[in-house]
Amino acid sequence: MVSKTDILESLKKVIDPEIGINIVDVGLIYRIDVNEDQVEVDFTLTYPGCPLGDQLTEDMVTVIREDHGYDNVVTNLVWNPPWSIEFMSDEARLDLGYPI
Amino acid sequence: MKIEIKNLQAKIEDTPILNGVDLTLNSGEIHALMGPNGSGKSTLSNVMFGNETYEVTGGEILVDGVNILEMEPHERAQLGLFLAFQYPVEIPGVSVGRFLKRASEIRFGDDEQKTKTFVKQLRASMDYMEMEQGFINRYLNTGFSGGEKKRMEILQMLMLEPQFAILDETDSGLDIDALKIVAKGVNRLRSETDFGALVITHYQRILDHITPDYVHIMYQGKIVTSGGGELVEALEAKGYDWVKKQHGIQEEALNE
Repeated sequence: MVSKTDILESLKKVIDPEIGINIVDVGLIYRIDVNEDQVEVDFTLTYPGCPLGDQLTEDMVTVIREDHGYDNVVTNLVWNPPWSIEFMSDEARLDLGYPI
Repeated sequence: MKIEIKNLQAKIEDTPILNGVDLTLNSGEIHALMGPNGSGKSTLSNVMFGNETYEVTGGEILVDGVNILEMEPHERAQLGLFLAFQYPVEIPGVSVGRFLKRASEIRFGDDEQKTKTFVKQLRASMDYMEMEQGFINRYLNTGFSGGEKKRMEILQMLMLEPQFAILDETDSGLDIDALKIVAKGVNRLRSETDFGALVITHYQRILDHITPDYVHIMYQGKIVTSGGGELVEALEAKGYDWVKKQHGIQEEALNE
């Protein structure tokens, strides 16, 4: 069985093109649910109106299918809680010059 | 790593400082370099890392058989050489964490494990060096005390794991507690990796905590004698005059 951690590792290949850092380290992934035939991912964007939703969705679906063979990947764009800098990993914050 | 310094000569403006230094250093060995003020110790470390203030007028420095004298300082660093500065530079605008992360990415490149666990390792190394975690967010060396700067040099060394380091008077200005912490950092690399160092110092004190395998004494731009730990004790007891007499060095030669 594929674990949430496996999915998370794959999602690290998806780069937020505005920041240049993968979406996991940016803190955009809120929830992952893995079933036998389906993976569900709740994710957010750094600000409402950010135009990257469709592109990131497509990239996520692609890496999960390629790495783990799931054809059924459901992504939900959520806004609660709103994203904030604290959600970024220490590594990402260092890269962007924020304190950790 | 094998470093061979052969008949190295260098000058600053028109003053010759190094007059034919011969020294072979290997990773896995700790060398101490002692000598009075003005004997050329710091010049040697500056020339090894390509400080352009000094002009090399002869000889060579080979690292694993390759002459490094034409290389840029950062290229020398990427070979696995490291210099702990005598006077670390303040860099406002660049945080310690960001600086070290970037340096570490360049040094370890493809090693994903290192990159992923960088912050964890940094925090652990800071604990080891008894530094507050808050230093991660401070600008490099900016407003640090003398002791904090020296500790920061050793923290950099721990994170970058060089094969050979030069510690240019890292002990000067340190109290005994800070000195022990610096020594602890050096000894950790020494025990965990194939690490070597050239410890440049005026004092026996640091060598009580970092036991050298070899001791060299420099005078008038040359290594005049080499030996083991006993040389440090003899020097401490008898002073540099003893070295001068022993090796028939004429003081006048210096003033020509």
